[in-house]
Amino acid sequence: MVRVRLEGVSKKYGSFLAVDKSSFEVDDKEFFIILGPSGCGKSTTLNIIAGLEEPAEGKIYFDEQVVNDIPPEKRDIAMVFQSFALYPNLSVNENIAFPLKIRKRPKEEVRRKVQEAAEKLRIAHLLPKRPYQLSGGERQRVALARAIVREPKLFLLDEPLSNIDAKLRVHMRAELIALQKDLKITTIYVTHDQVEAMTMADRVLVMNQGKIAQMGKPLDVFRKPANLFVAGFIGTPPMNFFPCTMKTSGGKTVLGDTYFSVTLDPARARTVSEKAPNSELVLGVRPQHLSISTSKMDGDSFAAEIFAVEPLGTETIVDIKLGDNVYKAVTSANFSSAIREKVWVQIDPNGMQIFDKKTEMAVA
Amino acid sequence: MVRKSVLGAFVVLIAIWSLTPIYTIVNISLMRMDNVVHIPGYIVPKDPTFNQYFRLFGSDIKTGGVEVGAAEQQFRKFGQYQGLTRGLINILIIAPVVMIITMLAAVPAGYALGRFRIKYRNAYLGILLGSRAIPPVSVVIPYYFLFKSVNLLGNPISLIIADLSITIPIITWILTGFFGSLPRDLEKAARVDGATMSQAFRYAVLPFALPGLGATAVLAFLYPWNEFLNAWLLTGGSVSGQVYNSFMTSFFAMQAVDNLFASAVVIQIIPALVVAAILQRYITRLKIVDPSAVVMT
Amino acid sequence: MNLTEQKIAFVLVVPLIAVAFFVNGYPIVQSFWLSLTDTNLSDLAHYNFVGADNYVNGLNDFFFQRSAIVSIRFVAETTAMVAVASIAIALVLNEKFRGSGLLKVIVIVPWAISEYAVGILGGFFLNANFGLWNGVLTNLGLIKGNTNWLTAQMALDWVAIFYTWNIAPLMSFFILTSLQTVPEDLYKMSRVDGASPFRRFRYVTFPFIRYALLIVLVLTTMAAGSATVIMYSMTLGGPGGATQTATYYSFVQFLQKRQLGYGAALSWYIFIFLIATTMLYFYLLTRRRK
Ligand SMILES: Nc1ncnc2c1ncn2[C@@H]1O[C@H](COP(=O)(O)OP(=O)(O)O)[C@@H](O)[C@H]1O
Ligand SMILES: [Mg+2]
Repeated sequence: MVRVRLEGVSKKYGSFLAVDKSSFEVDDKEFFIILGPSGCGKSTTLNIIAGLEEPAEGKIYFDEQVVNDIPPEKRDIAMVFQSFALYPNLSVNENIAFPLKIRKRPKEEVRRKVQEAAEKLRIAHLLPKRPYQLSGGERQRVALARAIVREPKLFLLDEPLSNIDAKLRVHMRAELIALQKDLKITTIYVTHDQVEAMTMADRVLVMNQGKIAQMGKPLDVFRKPANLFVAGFIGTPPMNFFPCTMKTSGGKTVLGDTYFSVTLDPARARTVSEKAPNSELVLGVRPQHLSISTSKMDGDSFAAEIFAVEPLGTETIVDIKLGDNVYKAVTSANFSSAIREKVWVQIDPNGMQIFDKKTEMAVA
Repeated sequence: MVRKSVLGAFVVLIAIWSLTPIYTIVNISLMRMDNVVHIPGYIVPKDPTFNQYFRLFGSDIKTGGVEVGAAEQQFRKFGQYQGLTRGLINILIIAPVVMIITMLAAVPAGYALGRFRIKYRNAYLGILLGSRAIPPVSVVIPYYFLFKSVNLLGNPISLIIADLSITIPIITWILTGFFGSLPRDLEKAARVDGATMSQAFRYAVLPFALPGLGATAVLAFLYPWNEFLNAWLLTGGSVSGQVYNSFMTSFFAMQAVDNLFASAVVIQIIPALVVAAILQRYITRLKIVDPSAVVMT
Repeated sequence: MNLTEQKIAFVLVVPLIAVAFFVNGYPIVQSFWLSLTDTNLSDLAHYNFVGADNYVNGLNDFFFQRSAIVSIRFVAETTAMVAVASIAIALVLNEKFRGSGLLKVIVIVPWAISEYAVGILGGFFLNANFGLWNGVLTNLGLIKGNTNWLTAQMALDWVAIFYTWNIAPLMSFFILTSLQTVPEDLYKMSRVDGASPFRRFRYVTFPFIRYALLIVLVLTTMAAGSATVIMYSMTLGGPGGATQTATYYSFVQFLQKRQLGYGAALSWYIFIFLIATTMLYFYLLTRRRK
């Protein structure tokens, strides 16, 4: 229904820069997620798009139109908040009808649309109730019904699933995606939960301290994190970071330090020496790409000590100690070993990410 | 932008609304009578002088060449001006006494009611609140009757008792809500560490409560300072026992000098201005008489 | 809680409550007893039991009837003005702006001034010869020559305005406390919905300040219904009884006419009126719609 574009948008609270020169574009009908830790400026960005806050600088476009000076109620948007924000002394029916009534739509149309929205979210039986009589999940549906009833051209959702219990949340994720695909309304969704971002988004924008850290399809961001922040923020358990340097001897290039070393293929080695010559590096490896064995393996494997074991049922997370650092590896559920036992660790060459320690940017 | 200027307009309006009546009396108190009655009136004091404030307390300092009039000389001769001074001294003794007794009684009771699950707690609170529901008019007549029958009229003790009958319930009520709202974990930790109840109070509650207690004490001072009805009925007839408020009213009923009266009232409201500045930060936290403040959760 | 704590708490609380009980119970009982007698201030030792005579006389007393009407008008005017003023002040104080701390101090000042002094302030402000109000209106060219504002028609309104000036600050802080519980999200929601300022107040703000407003109404009614001192210091109940409220009249009975019993009976009528009004508020504000 609408394309949203931000150009160099900044927001200051006093001298604190909450959003720092943010530029990005959300495609028509896209499910776009803004992801980041709490306090990184996600809500502020969303509020600026809604027109609830004025940016200190920069422009906001809806399609080709600059909307900076258009008040929120004229932007044809609908919002859903973490706290649901239902009018406490209006019934569910009146709450959903509120945005239509304010726009003075005919009575019959209001009744019909409220009914449709309520049926879509399966809350028709709740219409006469008041918000305080509803459970968290029901309130959430009412808030969604109120958002869709007006058929806006843009949905803005600010952590809408954070206040409902874990089981319902999983269910609501799927329902929200289905709803969005069905209505085909451009959606910007804010969350601090990376699982939500990975499972729901067409594209995700990762924010850190007011700045855009990376933007792209969820799997691309997962596979090719652009910097150490994104690498560490996305994925559970989080990515392991091995501080290391690159050495070449006898035509063979290895990454390593006192406790470990892995061979780099020549192409990659060349990229690294071009992009970060003589730099200290960080090798990032997801726990899924570390394998552990009690006997020495073929290829580059190195010795470590078991520090802790967390059996999760479907898999087991093993903490291993290498020097003073502890790393996590995901193993099969039947892996068993004793704490302080010596093990052999191997890094999957396809799971290696190399970062420049100083700039924190991905190198290869 | 529109919003900002509307807000600004309201801010100015509220400030004017709050301060104008005070300004008007200060204005009058600083002018000679001929300037006070000048038409059109002076909105800013003309030839400002503090002379009235000195005259109030019997000083003969004269400025602007205005002699003390014949009536005022008569009044001085009969010691009326000393009466105003004595009234001020009396209230400056009575108000702190009321404040101290109130705090001694109300702090332990408010602490116990605010933090412990005492039996019949709600009944106690009901009695405290109920004492605020009776209009003062229903209370002062019986008190007048009582103190007259035991011959305590004109004695400061009667005024102190009457004031305490109001301040103790109110202050206990406020403190109940206040102590109830202070964090409890540290006190629990202190008890677990083996502190006695009074040690826990001293080290884990008092440090957080002190500013609020100070603000409450200020309230307990302000009440007798401002109180008029009891002061007038119970000490009104007495020369030595009268307090400032009650003496002022009879004095200026006979000696209607407006600028002098105005300065007498300014002296009465100065402490109020100081109190307002002190209390501002605590007034939302103390919930002065808000019944919901003490309802146990 | 263990037994010792319970005991200590008991020792701290019970004596005080007992005192509060008697200190407030005594006047109730005493004033009820007085109201059934013809006790006169000049001779407290001799009196007769007269039953309900004082109450019957009160109903037939033209001056009491007139004062009751004055009281009702005063309570109605004051309560309406306090409600509006305290909400308006609280809404402004709830905004973030530079100098809001200073404005809070300024706002609370009138509350700290005694009712007696407020009446004097009002009298000076409106003084027909040299009051600032006349000065300002003359300077603005709105009136020609000084005007007497404290006439039989207007005096009560002006007393009500100054009484409002005195008590609205505290009430506005009650409202302010409750305003701070309005969820930010709900307020944003209503802006996205495009609700007018009036609707925003009605559906977002009001539900959260409703209870505080109830308390404000009750407290204001209690206070205004028993206000006496301000009429004494501002207008002496005049002109011609125009500001003589029921409480004021009962004081006149008891201090000037020295009729303690009759005065006490009248004060019971006032007490009953105040309780009834308070209950009405509770009913109106707590009942569910429909
Ligand atoms: N009204 C405000 N005044 C001052 N600072 C604010 C305000 N709103 C947000 N901030 C600050 O701006 C930063 C970003 O806030 P926000 O956008 O709400 O973060 P989040 O990503 O958790 O939604 C936070 O550090 C927050 O403290
Ligand atoms: Mg947020």
